[in-house]
Amino acid sequence: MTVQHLFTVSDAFDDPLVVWSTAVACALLVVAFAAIQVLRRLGVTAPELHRELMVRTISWSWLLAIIGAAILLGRGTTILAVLVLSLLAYRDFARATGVFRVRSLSIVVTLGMIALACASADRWHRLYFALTPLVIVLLAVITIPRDEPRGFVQRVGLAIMGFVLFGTALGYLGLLTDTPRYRALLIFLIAAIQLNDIFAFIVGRTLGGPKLIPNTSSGKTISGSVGAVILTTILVVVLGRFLFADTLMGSWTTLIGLGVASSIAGQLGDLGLSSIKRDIGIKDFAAAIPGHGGVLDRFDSLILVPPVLYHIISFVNGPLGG
Amino acid sequence: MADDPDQWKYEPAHDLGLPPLARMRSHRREAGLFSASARLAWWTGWSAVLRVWNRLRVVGREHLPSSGSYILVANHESHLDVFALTAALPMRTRAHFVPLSAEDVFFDRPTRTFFAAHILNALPVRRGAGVRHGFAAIRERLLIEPTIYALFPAGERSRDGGFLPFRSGIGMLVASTDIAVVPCHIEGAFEALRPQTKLIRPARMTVTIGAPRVFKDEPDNREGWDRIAAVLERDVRALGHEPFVEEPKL
Repeated sequence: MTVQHLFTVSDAFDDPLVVWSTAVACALLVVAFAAIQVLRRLGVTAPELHRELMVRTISWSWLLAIIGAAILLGRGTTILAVLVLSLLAYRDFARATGVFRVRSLSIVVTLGMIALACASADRWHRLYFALTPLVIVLLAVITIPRDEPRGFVQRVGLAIMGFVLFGTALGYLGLLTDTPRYRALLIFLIAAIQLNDIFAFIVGRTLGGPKLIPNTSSGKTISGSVGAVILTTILVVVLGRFLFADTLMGSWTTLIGLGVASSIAGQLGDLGLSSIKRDIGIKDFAAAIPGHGGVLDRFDSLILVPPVLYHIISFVNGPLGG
Repeated sequence: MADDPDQWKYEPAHDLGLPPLARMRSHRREAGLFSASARLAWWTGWSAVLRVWNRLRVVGREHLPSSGSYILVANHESHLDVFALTAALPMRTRAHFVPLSAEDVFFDRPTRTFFAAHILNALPVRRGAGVRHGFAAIRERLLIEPTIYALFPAGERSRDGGFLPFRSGIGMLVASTDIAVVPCHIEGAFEALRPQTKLIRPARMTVTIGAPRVFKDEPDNREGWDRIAAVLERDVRALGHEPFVEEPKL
């Protein structure tokens, strides 16, 4: 059957990297909960902070469980999860900018994202790439019959931006399932990007120094940004030596390039979404995930990395998807 | 540049930043594609059922204001009443329909709140002593965006099919305001679906819509509220007794 490749679960733990990363993720959660409880007992964390930490960590557990289950269960569920993530991210964006009131644009974006997911599921990479310009053209014309030229450029521009960022760019995660070790690849991608955020935070806090772009994001420092690039690159090189062993991607220079590019793309995703929030004048996109804000606030740094990863792999190892 | 009138203007969702449950209870709630589609399917489906199974007839549709916000008031004898009212509205205004529902019944549990908010598009109203609580917010919504409230001024469903007197809560909501109130009479809903029964009987149903009223000159006090409730009750009763006679007054 042609759909069998979408729902193969039995090979989930064939890859030792998947076994290890699953074990590490579970261990990290256990350690986190234990640490929070110990700090509470020792009186280090005040009740208020303790509650905040618990809320955030419980949210993290749910997110990890959902992401982990989707990836382990196979390509079909992974692509479905990416589609849901795309739709939720666009929802946050559209509600914040107000473009959600134009129903015809929401319908086109939604159908476009479903079409992207279908192209990923069918391993039809050419359709995936063709869909972006096609949907853009459709978005550009769909509101003409409303006969409301006032605000035309704004609503069309916002819808296109939303579709390209949260449909096309994020949707590459689904397209990446068409690689031999996609489970380990996606787990490492998500882990590296989350760690990239944490590296930037820790290095920035420790070293301090001048701000990166204070009007966009008041907390980010140049030292944190550079530190994140260095540490993430080291991480990517170490993990990549295992993940891409025996392929052209496994060379030192390629992996260093991949690490630098991923770290920068991760930070730019974060800062790009911050720019949107500053422009609109809001703090968070939503309050759907307790302790984290909206879906888009949580996954902002993930948005620009998948296309970078895909095209580097495709360039180095030869085109994906035939 | 900052004062350039041609600059893009963002208008975020009016309920942005509220946690999910608070959002569902908020009078500033704005629907996305999911709830809008679900709601359209829900109301249109029920409208079709009533039109075919109960041969629902709508009389006096020309009395409905063609645009803007207003309040529908009606007698309440069956769960079908609210479906009959939406069926009476033109399709394009159905998206603005907001039933004002008892907080203690429709908004008590998360699952029911989800259903009330996303499928019914209902807003919570307190009953009894706290009835005025939240009226300012409910009135505010009428000004922010086109909204058609449905309200049963009796405050509860009649259990025996008899006409329950209107309470003064509706008066508190509209006294000394420009808000148009449209009286409606629903006939046959009790025969179609009584309390404690599960199946809808094919009883014939009729919705009769009367001329809108505005209570700008009524004082915002106990006397004014009582008078408004009495006037509307008389209107609705009259529509019920003479369903075919149009009342050109006002």
